[in-house]
Amino acid sequence: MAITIIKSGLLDSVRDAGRIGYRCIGISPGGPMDSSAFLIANTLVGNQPEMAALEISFPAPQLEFSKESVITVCGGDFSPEINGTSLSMWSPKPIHRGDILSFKGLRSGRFAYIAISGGIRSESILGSAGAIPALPSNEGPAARLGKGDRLEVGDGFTDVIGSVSAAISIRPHYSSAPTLRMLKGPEWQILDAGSTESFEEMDFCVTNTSDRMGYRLSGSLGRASASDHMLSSPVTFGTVQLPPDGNPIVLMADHQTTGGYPRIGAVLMTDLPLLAQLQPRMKLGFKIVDEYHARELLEERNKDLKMLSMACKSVLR
Amino acid sequence: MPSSRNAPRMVMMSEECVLVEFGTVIADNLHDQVMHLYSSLNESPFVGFIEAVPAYSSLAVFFDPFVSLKDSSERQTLFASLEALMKRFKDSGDRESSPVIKVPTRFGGRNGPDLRDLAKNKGISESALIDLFVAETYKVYMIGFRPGFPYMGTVSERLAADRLVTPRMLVPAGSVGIAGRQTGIYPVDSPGGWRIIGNTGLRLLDFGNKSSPATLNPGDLVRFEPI
Repeated sequence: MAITIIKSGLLDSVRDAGRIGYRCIGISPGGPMDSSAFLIANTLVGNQPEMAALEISFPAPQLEFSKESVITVCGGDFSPEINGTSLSMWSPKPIHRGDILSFKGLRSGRFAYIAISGGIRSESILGSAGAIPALPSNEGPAARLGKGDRLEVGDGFTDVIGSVSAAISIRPHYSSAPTLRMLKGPEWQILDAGSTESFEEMDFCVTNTSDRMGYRLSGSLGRASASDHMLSSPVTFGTVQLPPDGNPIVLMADHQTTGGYPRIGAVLMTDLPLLAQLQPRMKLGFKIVDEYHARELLEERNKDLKMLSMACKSVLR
Repeated sequence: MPSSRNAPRMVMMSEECVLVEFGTVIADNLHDQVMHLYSSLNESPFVGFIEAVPAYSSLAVFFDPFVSLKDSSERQTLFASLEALMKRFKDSGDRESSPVIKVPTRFGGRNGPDLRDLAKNKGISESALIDLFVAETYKVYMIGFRPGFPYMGTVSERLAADRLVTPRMLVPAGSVGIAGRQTGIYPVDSPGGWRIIGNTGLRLLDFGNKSSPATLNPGDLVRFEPI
């Protein structure tokens, strides 16, 4: 065993890149909420990008390591500490047998990622170590870890020679009032003329009903026709649905695979991390972009990760 | 008689997903086209294809954006390869029939708390309602809502039922429900608003079976058998 949960947090879970190939039977991938922080975290400790790491929320857990390894914490800032000394986020740190990782307080964000070199080795069900979304707690892999749980870790690096970190420019540009870039969705035309015109100027607010399945926003979007019944059709992570009350819902990592609300848009994969980290009552806006621009942003993120991976390889031992 | 078909609409639904929409209503002809493209993709996937999700009249096609498209201008190539697969669809009418999966079901009472009211509402006896319900062979149009939850049709017009105004907090696993002219089975305990007329002991999910974890899959045919 290499990691023991000494004290459990609000919602600690093992996450890999997600479960692929089962959307057709209603199982969505259920990967990390903040894919950018997750990918950077794995890269910083020399892991393959899809390897299993811990996703935690605040209140955060307390963990004890019983193996020499290299870890990093990325994403939301919960003031991480190793043995009571502040730990720099977004950079790899060697840890020793008996080291304790704890979190002192919530500074910002909602989800943090703890990656460990070699990756977490936990039981894989249908090709993924993550929980299957939308199941009752007695079915499938555990959706949350508890006090006393122990996690195995694969073989990896144990030391960092020199210094490396993910530059601010390649981290997600978190903000307490972000503008999320969005593709128009298949039912964009459901919006009435007023909402279409002022869409990019409108403020939306994250509500309390926001979890790993979806973030309900408050807004006041008008629909062109009131009585439109839509047949259930596929949806995905980032799909912006518009229920009749005009308050959009953005589907998140544990989304259902199909839905019956009009799909007015899709938040870009590279901007979903900004939304994932928003607390209830925080504001946001949208900006429409085309798929060419979306593609460029995704390519940029990929290139940044490759550069970072090379930089890390030269300092990890 | 081949029916007239319009070219399906293709829309990017994310950087890694294109939605192919054949229509916006429930119709066998549309679902046949969905299932044809779905099986064609699984049998002869394009480079970078990940998975496809069938629904009533649309299909989502997921792919690896860095493998399928060398750059964003290649989207047209992807659309063209999907169109080429769709062109092979022949609406022959005598489609290959899937085997029928039997679903043993206990109707009414504690197993089907809405059966009595629904029968009363329709002005028929409970047993007449059951007879009408089990007379049909249903098709699994899609899976959604919860892992393994089949959306099936088509329920006799005489049994069409609105969803409950206030959904139940807990519908037990195995519950057989009606919503509109659809029927479905709850694979796991969950909240739900469909009118529950019975319960099957049939297990709908087996996570140990990696190649086929769901008992019911899109395109399957289903008959309910009263026990």
